[in-house]
Amino acid sequence: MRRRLTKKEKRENVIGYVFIAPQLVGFVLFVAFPLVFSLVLCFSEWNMIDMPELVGFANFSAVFHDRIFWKSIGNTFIYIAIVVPLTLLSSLTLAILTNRKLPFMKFYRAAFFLPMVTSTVAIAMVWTFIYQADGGILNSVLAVFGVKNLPNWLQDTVLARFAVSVVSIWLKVGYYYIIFDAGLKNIPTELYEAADIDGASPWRKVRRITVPMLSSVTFFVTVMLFIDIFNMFNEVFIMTAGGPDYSTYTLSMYIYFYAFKEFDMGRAAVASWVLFALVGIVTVVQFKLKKKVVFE
Amino acid sequence: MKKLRRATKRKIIETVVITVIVMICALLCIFPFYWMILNSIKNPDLINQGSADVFTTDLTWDSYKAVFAYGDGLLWRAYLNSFLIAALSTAGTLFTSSLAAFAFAKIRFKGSKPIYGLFIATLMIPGQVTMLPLFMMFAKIGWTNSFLPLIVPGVMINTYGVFMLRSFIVSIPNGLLEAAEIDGCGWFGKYFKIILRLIKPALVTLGLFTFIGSWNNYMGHLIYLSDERLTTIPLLIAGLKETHMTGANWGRIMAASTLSIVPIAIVYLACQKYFVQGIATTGMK
Amino acid sequence: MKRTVKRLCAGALAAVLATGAISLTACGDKTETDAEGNVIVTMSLMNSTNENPGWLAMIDAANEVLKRDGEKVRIEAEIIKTDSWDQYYTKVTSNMLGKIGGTIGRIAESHIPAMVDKRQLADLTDVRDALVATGEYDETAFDGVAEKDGAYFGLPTGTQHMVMYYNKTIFDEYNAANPTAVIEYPSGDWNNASTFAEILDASKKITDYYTGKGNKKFGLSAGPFLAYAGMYAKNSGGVNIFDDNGECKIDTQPFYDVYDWFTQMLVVDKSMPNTSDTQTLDAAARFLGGNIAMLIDGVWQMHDVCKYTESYEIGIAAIPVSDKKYASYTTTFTDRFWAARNSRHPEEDKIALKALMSKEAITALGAKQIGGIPIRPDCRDNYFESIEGTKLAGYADVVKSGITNKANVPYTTYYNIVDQQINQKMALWINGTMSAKEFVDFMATTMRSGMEGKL
Repeated sequence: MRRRLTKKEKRENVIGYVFIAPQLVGFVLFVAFPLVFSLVLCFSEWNMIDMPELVGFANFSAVFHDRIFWKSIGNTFIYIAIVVPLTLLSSLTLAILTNRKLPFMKFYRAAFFLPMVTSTVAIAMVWTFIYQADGGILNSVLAVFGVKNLPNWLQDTVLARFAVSVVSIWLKVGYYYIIFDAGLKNIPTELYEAADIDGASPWRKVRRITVPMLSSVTFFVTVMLFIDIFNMFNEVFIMTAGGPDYSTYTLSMYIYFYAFKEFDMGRAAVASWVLFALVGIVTVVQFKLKKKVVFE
Repeated sequence: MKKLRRATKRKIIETVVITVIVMICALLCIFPFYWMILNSIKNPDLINQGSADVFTTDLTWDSYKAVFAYGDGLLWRAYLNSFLIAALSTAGTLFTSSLAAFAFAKIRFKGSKPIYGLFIATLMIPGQVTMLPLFMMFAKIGWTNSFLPLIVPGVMINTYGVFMLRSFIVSIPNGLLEAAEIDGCGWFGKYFKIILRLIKPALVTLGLFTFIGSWNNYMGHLIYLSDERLTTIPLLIAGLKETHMTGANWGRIMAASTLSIVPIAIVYLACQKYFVQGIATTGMK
Repeated sequence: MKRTVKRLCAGALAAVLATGAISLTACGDKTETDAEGNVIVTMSLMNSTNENPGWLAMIDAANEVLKRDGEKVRIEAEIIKTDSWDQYYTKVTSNMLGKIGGTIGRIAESHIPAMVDKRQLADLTDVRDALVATGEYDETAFDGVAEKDGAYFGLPTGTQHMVMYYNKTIFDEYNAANPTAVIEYPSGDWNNASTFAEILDASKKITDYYTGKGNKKFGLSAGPFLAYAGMYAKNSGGVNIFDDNGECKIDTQPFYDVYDWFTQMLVVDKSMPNTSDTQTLDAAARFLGGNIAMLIDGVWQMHDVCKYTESYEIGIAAIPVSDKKYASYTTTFTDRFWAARNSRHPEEDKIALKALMSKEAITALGAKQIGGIPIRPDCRDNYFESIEGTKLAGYADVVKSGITNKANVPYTTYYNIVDQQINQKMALWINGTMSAKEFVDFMATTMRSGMEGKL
């Protein structure tokens, strides 16, 4: 039996839609429509003047036969392997270390978080300058310590990945530090007091109390980090332009190149859906794992 | 007694050691900023000679003067444009997303749950997927080379903002709203008189994030803006790198970088509390 | 049931709103005219502080011509602020899509094949024929990348070729300190150019001399890029990338010789700045600042050279050759004027382009030394005379005789991606992971994959 709506309920229905109207229209125009459009683009070729022409799976075949495409996917996983654990470790360590009364607390927080709010373009330029092979501060410091063959950070396929990863970690640490810090504050102090009575060592307390109690926060951080890295663009674009030999190239740069330099919209659309699929798969897998790992 | 003293002593040593470690990390974190500022006021000749001294007394304002003089004071225009885009985006997005968040949190209307679910599902969509069709859409309607594509989509849809504000509004007790209703408040009255007031900290946080995101949005500005009069701070800095100005390139880039970071750094330092609060809550939910 | 209907309605409403919004704004399909009823044709130009005055002078002169001829057309400039031709092309394409901005414009030759291939450009065959019929232009000037299936798309206006600038002051300073081992200025004779060996030697000597003196200098800067590879190969007895049958000839001895020469300077002697050096300060800026003794770059640098080298004497020489028996060739770029295929006023665009290619307009441009050496024969002398009034007076002949030994870059639709892949690989050759031969072979393979459409 369906109950008739009261006047008040009807009014509430209308008001609800009025309130979400701007966002709903925006959703249709700027999210739903572009999504459908880009799906259509995957199967078409378009010169941006005439109507798009349907070309079947030609764009997919072009992308999947492209050495550079696979290289950029490989790079993404290398970045994940470097940046995710190191960011987790450093932000968690800093959060644990500062989870007590220390002098200059405000200063630390400001310092850790400052990279996050500054313009990546501006700061990536500064890092390029720091990494300069000849006259860069990093190499000058290494020279003082007697290093003979000074590395050419941004021109070496292996080092460039590390150099970019370091910047990426530096940019993110502050954000995740604050999340871990908030997580730590939520752990009941009684747990630590009980452990103190048992005479547990600090390391044991971290392993047995802090880490399990933070598992859901850690999980959230990991998901966010994965998504961050899938979308990596600015720092690479400014510092290395993807080079040398595509060693720092990312999927986002691949999409940018085909979309805005070659105007091969079909190929760019396919690559962007691959990116979407990767983000989706990783998130789903992680949520499945969550049930097994996270301590509730 | 002795044992106690030993414990205190141990505690002091621990604090000192940790302070030193954390201090070193913090200094490493801000070193690039120091380096940027130092090189912006260093004598440009020193930079070109490849000098990497961490301290120097050979300072000059030449690089700043050059940046201010660049393109007949283009910097001021870039500041104004960047500010305009960021301020309009922020004001708009705060209004529309708080409205929607309120509706999703407190108003019972049909389809509320599935629509909200749809919103949340799109949180995960990478910007690159929609960037391309959006660009073509805006080009088709002739909005390129204007601020509209940089403001309108952000104002009209901000799933993250709705998500975040909703989580705040949900925790507001229903009793407050009911009391207001007895006082004769309609839904709009409740929104303006109660909700907006109570979620002020969340609004400040979201506002700051939006403002900074817009201020630093290099990619969007790069794609959409081409008129020199429409130039913004990120474009100006990236452009300085390419511009053929003889000598002193890095000094000028560092000066421009400093100038672009300073307003945001001030905002951040002044509102640090809200940032921390905002991030901490997103992590918890 | 009811819920589904409602949802469908909401969806439909939103779709209507969307299409409404789009069509409303797209309705501005109107030809712009000025107060006197002249059609306004907008011309897209890439922003460059040094060049803008020249282009604006050209447009003013063209407007005078239009007025004199009683045409109801006026040209307006739209200066697009970008850092590169790639970005400029992005903006131009989005303008075409939105039907805003310039319907005619200027672009580097490298982008013409892509624009033709994507059918973005208007057919300008009749403009070409008219210009040839009046005898204003030579028919031979219209060869090159802008022709496809008998139709002609990008009108050539000026050519820019490569020359070798050298800092006489640095040479003199070195020679004064080393009177027993004097190095000579590079040769300005295109049929008797300096050899690779001579330049290599001079470059090394200058670099070594200044090392450790507090003002480190490089001997030579030259780009080992694909665009210039053909020129150097020709100067070593090879071909310009492709032979007469259109086969890729990169993996041949002349190319190996050229890249060995580069390896010696870049990797062994370090007498040439590498990519990391030029990231701090680009080669042209370094040359202007007296940090490099010799620079192989385009004639477009003459403007800056005249303006920014107060404390130095500068000379211009021919591009070096591997052996005196070879004539010196030079990579030549041809700037193009284009018109958009979807313009609302195609006829007016053509009238505007003809005015822009008139003697008056090209003369106004050449007087500011912008736009390269005019294709139009009756404007060329005027251009070379304008050099006489500058610091580079005396080298006008060297610049002038360079135009007879052209080596055009064989631009194609796949050129950009081939070029990008080669540039990405370059670091491996410069840091020594790859030998010069391996790098040249890579260039050849990449070019062949590009030709087969496999990139």
